[in-house]
Amino acid sequence: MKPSDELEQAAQALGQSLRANEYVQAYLQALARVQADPEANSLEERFSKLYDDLLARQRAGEQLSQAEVDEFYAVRSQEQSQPLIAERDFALSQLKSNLAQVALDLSNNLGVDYTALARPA
Amino acid sequence: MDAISAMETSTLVYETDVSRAVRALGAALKVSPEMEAFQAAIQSVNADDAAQDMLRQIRTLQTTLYWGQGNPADHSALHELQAGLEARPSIQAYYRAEQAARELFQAVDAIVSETAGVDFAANAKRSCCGG
Repeated sequence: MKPSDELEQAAQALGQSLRANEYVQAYLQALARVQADPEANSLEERFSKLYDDLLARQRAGEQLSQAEVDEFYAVRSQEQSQPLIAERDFALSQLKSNLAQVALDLSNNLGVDYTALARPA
Repeated sequence: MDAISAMETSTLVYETDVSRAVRALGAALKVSPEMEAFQAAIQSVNADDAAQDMLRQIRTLQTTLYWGQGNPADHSALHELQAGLEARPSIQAYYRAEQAARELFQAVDAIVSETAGVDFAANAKRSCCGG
């Protein structure tokens, strides 16, 4: 569906004001630092692969060994404590809190829940 | 006033800009045909006494079954009520209007997100734990 010109302009204006927001800027900069860091990238990739693999095997009914579970928690802890990743995750949590307030203001303005309607089902 | 830091000043300016943009987007969405139809559909459902009665009965049965106090007849009654409710013209019109509003909101949100550089609605949902 293509929104009307007026709606498109209003949506762009909100997007621009959000882009200038310190929380969005802080998150985008933290994200760029993670993406530019080989160690952080490698840790994220390793954790993601391990998580997907263990989840798929568990869902298939396989019993995971204690060593595998221990490895999962060790890699997760390593990933979460990597300074750049921790900084990005903190920036994301701040951003989410800020965006939730903006969306709440929009919902109050509209009289319907904006996020419930705008998020893919 | 001179105690206001540069960061606070920046935040105040930002909040003014965002607040203005939120009001403008809200106003534009409110007068869209999809949103007007959705609001009209909500009012029709609220004014449909039979639908409201069915909704009350459904909620009562759901509560009974939730607490494990129901019997097989309650399950059947619940399914019948739900089917009857969904067959009502006001409810069918509501679903159609809601879907149209959903498509509009998703299209608008895609523009907001693309311009902002982050997914707006996807990141804006409050979690139960404050995250």
